[in-house]
Amino acid sequence: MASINAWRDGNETLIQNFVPDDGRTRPHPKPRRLKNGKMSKVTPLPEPDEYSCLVRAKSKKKKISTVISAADAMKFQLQFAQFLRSNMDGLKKEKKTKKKVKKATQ
Amino acid sequence: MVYIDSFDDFEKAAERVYLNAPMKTRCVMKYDHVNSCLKVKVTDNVVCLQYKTDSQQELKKLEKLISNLMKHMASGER
Repeated sequence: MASINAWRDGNETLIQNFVPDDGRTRPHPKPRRLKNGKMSKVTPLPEPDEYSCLVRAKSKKKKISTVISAADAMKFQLQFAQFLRSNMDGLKKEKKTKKKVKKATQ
Repeated sequence: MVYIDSFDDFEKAAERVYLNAPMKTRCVMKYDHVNSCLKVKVTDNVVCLQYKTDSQQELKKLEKLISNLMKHMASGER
């Protein structure tokens, strides 16, 4: 988490990707045709206890990623907001129109 | 690719896409410092929604949207 927020390769294009993650490391099993002509039995993958969010960040030189669980989501969100505001400074700021305050004549 | 003009339309469409297919939806954010442009894409591999901005104000709104999506992704999916 800290490595993603602390990393920025100067003035380059930065791509961030947010994908839901169910913790699977294998593909979903598919029924296959056996030599005796029957289809193989397939036990489906167990449902995960916890879902999480996979976050990837990529620049020209580096690629990093991390998994955020429900417990870490709040902490990550605060750091992420801070990171966006401080580092994405190339975007245009809206000019505030100053209202002229007339001095009260005595 | 076509970009959505209004942020409100983009936000509603993105939430709709996510609720229809929570496990297939991904959100991609691309920041280009040289061209001072921030592009956000939300897609479920069928529908693709894109939004482009160069404003700090809209960055804050986009950050809230992405944080919401991230919280939903990290919570229990049904």
